[in-house]
Amino acid sequence: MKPSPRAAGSRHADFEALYQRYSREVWALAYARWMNADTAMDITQEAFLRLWKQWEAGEPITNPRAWLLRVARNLAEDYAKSAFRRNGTSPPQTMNDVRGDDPQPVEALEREETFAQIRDVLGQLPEPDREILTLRYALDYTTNDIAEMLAINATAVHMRLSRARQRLAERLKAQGVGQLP
Amino acid sequence: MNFVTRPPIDANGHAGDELDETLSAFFRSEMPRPWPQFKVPDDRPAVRPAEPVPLPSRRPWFRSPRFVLAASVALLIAGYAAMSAALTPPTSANDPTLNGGGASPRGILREMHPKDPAEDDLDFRGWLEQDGNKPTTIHIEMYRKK
Repeated sequence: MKPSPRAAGSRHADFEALYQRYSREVWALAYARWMNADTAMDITQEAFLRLWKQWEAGEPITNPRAWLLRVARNLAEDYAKSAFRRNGTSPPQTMNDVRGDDPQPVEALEREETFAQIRDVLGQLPEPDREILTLRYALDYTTNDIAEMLAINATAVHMRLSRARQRLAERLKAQGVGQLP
Repeated sequence: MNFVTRPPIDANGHAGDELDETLSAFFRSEMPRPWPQFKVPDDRPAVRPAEPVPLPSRRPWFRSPRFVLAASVALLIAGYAAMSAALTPPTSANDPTLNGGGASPRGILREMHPKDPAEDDLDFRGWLEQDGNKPTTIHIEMYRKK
């Protein structure tokens, strides 16, 4: 039976609300995997597109959040395989460090320099460290928020967050990033 | 600022040191802004655009391929009919092309007596002769008028 226009509009609104609520989480997980904002957004859009198709097919999903996070992880791994096929063992090149020709203020340049170093150090950390750091600092999630999302207890989150932060700080110091702009 | 020293982190995981501020600034700078909207795929079935109506040909009607074909067939039939009529053996006894009044196995075709106005003292006659399945022979006789 074809859904009525009103039902279709309601479904759109529900899906839009779902997107607004969980898209940043999905992005954060994908970003932690690849350390690339554009790739993370592609994975996010693809995950929601698949969810939309499930809805259209009439297949019920009891926990859309868990479903989305699982699909996003799978998509991130699929992206990894295809990247290896394209680039061999070298990771895909990013454009994050490209600078324009326009002169920038000194503070902005120093900020970009620091961010580039942070990005580099984050790439060296294990993925679970990146994941928890991204959830904490990109989404400003509390320990309880992260625990609920990752399905672990708050104590474990606290411990993992502290250790990840410690490792990051040590490596930043090793690279000479001791002063912030 | 020494990043190695662990700042106190409260139960909510928040700390207000410089590293936290820097990491927050870094991750927020990585996030797309504005946050992209999700474009819901259109529910309507894809409508194939209607095929364009072919423009009427601007060629004259007599240059239409169909007309040319029909004309060719008509000419072929007419030519065949003309040839058949020309090859039909005469049945009249007064036909001057028959020899001696007797029946001849030869089929004499049409006689032609065209007259050339420029040469009044000349006359000629022509005819086609076909003997059975042999090739058709064209006979032309020219003679002076008496």
